[in-house]
Formats: sequence, C-alpha cells, structure tokens
Amino acid sequence: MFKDKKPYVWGVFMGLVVVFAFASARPVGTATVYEKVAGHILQFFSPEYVRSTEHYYAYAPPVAEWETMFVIGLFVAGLIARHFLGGRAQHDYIPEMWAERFGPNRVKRYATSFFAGALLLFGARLANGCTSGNFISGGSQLALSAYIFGIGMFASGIVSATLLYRSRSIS
Amino acid sequence: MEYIMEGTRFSVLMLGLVTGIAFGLAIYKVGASQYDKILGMLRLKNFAVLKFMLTTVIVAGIGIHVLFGVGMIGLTLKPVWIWAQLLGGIIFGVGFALLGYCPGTGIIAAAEGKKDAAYGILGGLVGAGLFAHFWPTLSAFIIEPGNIGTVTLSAALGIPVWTSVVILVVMFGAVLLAVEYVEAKKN
Repeated sequence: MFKDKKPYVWGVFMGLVVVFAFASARPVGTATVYEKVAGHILQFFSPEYVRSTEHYYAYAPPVAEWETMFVIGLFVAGLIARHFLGGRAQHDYIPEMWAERFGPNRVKRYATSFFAGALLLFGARLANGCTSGNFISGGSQLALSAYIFGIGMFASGIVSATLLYRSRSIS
Repeated sequence: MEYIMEGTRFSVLMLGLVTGIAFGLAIYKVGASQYDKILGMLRLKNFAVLKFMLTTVIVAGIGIHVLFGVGMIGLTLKPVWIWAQLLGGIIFGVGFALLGYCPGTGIIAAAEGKKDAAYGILGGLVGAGLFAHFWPTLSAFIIEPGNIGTVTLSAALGIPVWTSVVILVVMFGAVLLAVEYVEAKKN
C-alpha cells in the first residue's frame, strides 16, 4: 500500500496552493471565466444581446480579474509543460484509451469533445462551479454545495464512463 | 487593457497568474490533464487523480480552517442550490466522461497541444453561453426552488467547525485507505 507517492506529494503541494490562493486573494475557480469569455466574444458580434442577457453582467462581468488571470496561468503551465517538461502532444493527438474503444477517427473524437465541453460548462455554471471552484474550493471549506455537486459529478461520471466502455475489456 | 487599468489591481492579477501556473503544473505532473487518467478514475481502474484530489481537499481543508481559526481569512461559501447542484453535477459528469478533462485541466491539455481539449473548450464557451441565455428560466424553475443559502457541514449537522474538519479528514482518509487496499490486493 501507498507505493505510488506521487499523487499524494502533488496533492499536498496543490492543497498548499489552494490555501495560498485563499490567503492572498480568493478561492480558485475556472468555470465563470468561460462565461466571461463567451460574453466577450458575443459582445463583438452583438453588444445589444449581451446587454440584454442579464446573467453576463450580474454574475460574470467581462472584465479581467484574479480568476481570469488564474485561467491564463493554467494555460501558461500547459505551455511550460509542452516546451520544457516534455509534455508536447502529438500533432494528431487522440487519447489512447479512446482510440482503442472508438477508433482513431479524429472527426468523431473532436465532435464528441465539442459536445462534451458544452455539457461540462453548462453543468458547471448551473451548479455554480466546476471541479476547482466547487469541489476543491467548496469542499475544503466544508460547504454543503460542494458535496452535493461532488456526489452528482462522480455518480454520473462513473455511470457514464462504465456505459461508454461496457462490453469491452480495455485495460 | 482599459479593464485591467480600471479593475483589479495589477499585483492581484499577477497573484492570479502565479497561482494558476502552480496549480497547472501540479495537475500536469500528476497526469490529471490526461484523458486516460481521468477515464481510468471514472472507470474505477486508476485512482491516481482521485488520490491527488482528495489529498488536495484534505490539506486545503486543514490549512484554510487554521487560517480561519486565527482570523487571517474569512470563508467564501457558495449558496446551496440543491436541485441545480445535483442536476448540474450530473450533466457535468456526462461531459466529464465523454471529454476526459474538466474545465481547468482542459485548458492545460489544450496548451500541451491536445486538440480534443481545444474543441472541448470551444464547446465549453457554447455551454456557458447557453447557460447565460437560459438563466432567467433556469433560475426560476431549478435554481431558486432549491436555494437554501450558504450551509456548511458543521451548520447542517449542528457540530463544531473543527469536528467537521476531522470528519472530512477521516472520511476522505478512509476512501484513500480503501483505494490503496483494493490496489494492493489486485497486484
């Protein structure tokens, strides 16, 4: 037991980062930024629409603040991983497990990803937070909201993943 | 640019950037920006990401409550929306199983060059936009009927805050032990 210590070591580090965020600024979170960016893009096409859609201004005003910079930081971390830590993904990247189950068709994978991304963020906004904002920030404050979301997320995620990969034994 | 000038202070913006980079590197190092690791967790076959997440919440939970206890910080609780959080979590879970990234890890994966994660982000913008569009209806029929305000575990159970922190550590600790036990038995 406890042979692989890596997830625990990084978990402790991550926990300290979350505490640092609390002490220096505010709880971590990601999902709201998607709505801010969506608002920004829509504003380019139709400022009237964004002005008349109350939620953008009431809950996700399209301004740069801590959380937006946090998300940019996530992207920078990915770039650091890609260029300095050997994390560059192949040009025609398809997840290995996905390819084994659903084949190497890129259109199928990308179309599914687009649809899944829409479900992911619609669900996250409806629940008022995603894995970081709801489960990690809320869970560590022992907020009931985080645990209701967490139960829904894990139950549905486990059932969905099991159904997607049923009838095949892929390791 | 003018928003940056008018809005949040530059130093706070930089703190956000630094926090994001640290957060992102931890996620990358542990493999949480990999579809295979996320699906491995949801298929109950590879528990690395689960161990990472639960350890994060345990450490952050203790740290936050220590700082809260000495009065250094206040809590920033989200209100409980029973139906919206349950339904949102269920919809999120389906997307999570199909995409293999969450809204944060997808950003890191896309920066690594994973195109499926980039398409997931584009879909995410549409999903967030749809939510904003239908918010008046969702709010009236799903969010507000289940809105009971901010509730912590200690308030819900009527126990002291520190007892609830101990419950968290014991609960998550038990899950970690069980997972380690199952893995050790399998090998």
